[in-house]
Amino acid sequence: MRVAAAFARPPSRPALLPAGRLPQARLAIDSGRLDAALNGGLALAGCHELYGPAATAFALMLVLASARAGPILWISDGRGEDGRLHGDGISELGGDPARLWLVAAGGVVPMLRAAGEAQACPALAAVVLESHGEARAIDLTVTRRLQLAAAAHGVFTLLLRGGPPRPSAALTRWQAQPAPTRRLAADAPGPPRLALTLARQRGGPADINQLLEWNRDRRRFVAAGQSAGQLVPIGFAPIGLAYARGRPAPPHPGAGVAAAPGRAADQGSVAA
Amino acid sequence: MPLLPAERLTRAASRPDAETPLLLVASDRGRQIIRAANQAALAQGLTPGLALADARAAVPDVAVAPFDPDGDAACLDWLARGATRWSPLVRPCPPHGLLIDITGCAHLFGGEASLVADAVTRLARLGFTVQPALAATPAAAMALARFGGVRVDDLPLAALSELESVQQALRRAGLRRVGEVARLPRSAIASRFGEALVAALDQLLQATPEPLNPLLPAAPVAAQRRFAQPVASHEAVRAGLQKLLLAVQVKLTALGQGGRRFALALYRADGHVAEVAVETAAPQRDVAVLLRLFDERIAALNDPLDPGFGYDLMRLAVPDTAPLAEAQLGLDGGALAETQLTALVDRLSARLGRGRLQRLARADSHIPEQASFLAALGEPAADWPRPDPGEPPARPIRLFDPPQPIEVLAEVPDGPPRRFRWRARVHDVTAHEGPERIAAQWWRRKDGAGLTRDYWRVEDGEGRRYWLFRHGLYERETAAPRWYIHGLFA
Repeated sequence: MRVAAAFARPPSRPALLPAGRLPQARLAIDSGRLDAALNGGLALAGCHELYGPAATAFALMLVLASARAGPILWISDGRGEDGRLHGDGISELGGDPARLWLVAAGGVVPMLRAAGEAQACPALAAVVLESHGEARAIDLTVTRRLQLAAAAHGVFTLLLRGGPPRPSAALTRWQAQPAPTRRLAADAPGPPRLALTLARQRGGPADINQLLEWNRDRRRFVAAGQSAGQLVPIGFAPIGLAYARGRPAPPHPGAGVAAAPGRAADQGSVAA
Repeated sequence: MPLLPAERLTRAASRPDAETPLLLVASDRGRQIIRAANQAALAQGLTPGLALADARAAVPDVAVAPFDPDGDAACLDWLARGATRWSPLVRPCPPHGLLIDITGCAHLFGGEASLVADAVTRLARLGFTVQPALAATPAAAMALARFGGVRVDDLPLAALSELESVQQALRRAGLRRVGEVARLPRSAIASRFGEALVAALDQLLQATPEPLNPLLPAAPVAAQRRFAQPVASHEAVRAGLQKLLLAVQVKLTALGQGGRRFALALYRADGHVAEVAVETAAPQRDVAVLLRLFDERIAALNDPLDPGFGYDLMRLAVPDTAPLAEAQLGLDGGALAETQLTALVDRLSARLGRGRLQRLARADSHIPEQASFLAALGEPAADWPRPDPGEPPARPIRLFDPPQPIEVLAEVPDGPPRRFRWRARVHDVTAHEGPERIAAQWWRRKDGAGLTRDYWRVEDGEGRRYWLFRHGLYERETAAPRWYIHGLFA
């Protein structure tokens, strides 16, 4: 896990290596069960599929956590029913809305063509494809092409999808649900929490649930259940935790909260 | 082209029977009046102004069609675009004239006379009768074309003024030709016949320059290729385009400029002109990059290029240029990344259209849906406020514009929401924060009214977070405030 952390946030980068896109760079997510299952973190040179009502938020958080320089190209195939991206809200997540470049492709096929152009440009921080509805055109071949391009150019590619999961060659598939937050003073909702499920992973374990809270100020996830004061940053993880990989996975840090009845209902609604 | 309306219809219907009299009529106070006619009709004395019934009485066998000035104007515009093959400065002169400024162009066609002959032949091939005229000023050329003749001095008085009263006054003074009027002192003409006549005389005789106001602005840099044999294949057109781009690149490099817009005009042998243009985000003159942009633009065209019998002229114009220094690669890679991004923006714009690339822009407004909007990517980026550390997000990442109405149950009318119904589902509020009060923009409204919004950040039993507002303060502004959902949080 310390290896993963070193790759995820290279402390010093050689000045003459502008791209800095190591093909094996990985983004540590929870420094826990997810990272262990992902062999150290989410591969940044790859294509990942995100499903679920919190997919937009999860995609933005992942790109912000990856801390890559350059614009985020957000290509959409049309208008969904969930409104438009809101600049102030992205800034409230810790992002700079000016870095977000939006492409209204107006259809799945133009979106995929634009993605082909974008994935050849390593100066982008990430390419996010937002499809609405089932989008049958995004099949095994298309996702394989996206994955190969992402790996070849080291471009972090995220594919937001609706409808039931479809066959795909993406590296991972995620279900992202909003989860009840911890309460602040006067019963106010706290920072965003996501109930994540790593539903599928190519050549790796899957079906892992994790409850994570987004820390905007540090631009990273923290395991839910730890309040901001008890945050355990990755770089200073206790030694004992570093060996957690070899042992059976420890119980879910946020298990108490995750067992809330709302969560099971949530996942039921996605499958529907 | 005095017979343009009739000849246009003959051409459109591809009817070769130029022998049948064709009358174009329009209703005038209940009567059908001839507004235009073809050569055959004119030869039989059926002139514009005659009533259709009278014409039928004289010549029973006539074809009749409605008079369509808009169609004529469109046809003239189409011809004007085709006429840019002779000179970039072309202006359509309604109802049926074309003004072409051939200053400095005639030698390319072997002199003025052969240029005129070329124009007459080409237009005749399209089925148009042309009355060409060459003169030193646009007004003189139009008058000569209209009234015939070679010398401006021999023109009739009608060339000076449309008004019958002015013409009559001139005739009474014993003047019959423009040349005779021109010999009089200007002050005398002005005092007797008015300033307008002096102005008209000066326009005819080049005493005052008359700007042509062309159809297309002249491009600072352009190149063209002429083909003895029209080219039709895609490869040949592409090869021609590559040579044009090279020529333009040489010119731009010499000027230290790059183009921001490149317009390619393909002149088909039958007079049609196809136009394709690409725009770049940054000044550009690299042939390979531009060729690729053109490829993508042409591939994305809604109606593919139809070469027909082939193109006999290609012209590439660069109407918009900007300074571009010689490229220098930075050691830090910053310049490289910048170049890659600019190239990406250009390729996406060529493929999807420039308006499809946007960024979130910020407006100076308290109303949330007006504070953030989409602007073109070329616009400068705004500075966004940084949120206070340690606070949960106060604004949603997705915004409904316009807000969607919901049904809300609250314990007290001005209290927080307890339960709401949205998209046919009931959500129980488990946590809330608010209200955040956003006043209406009363200073923008004449009556100073407008409803205040009380925003609430709420979470339902499933952990989803919503941004709701109550529109109007209870009892102070409205008796039954409505509720809306305005956004979704992470």
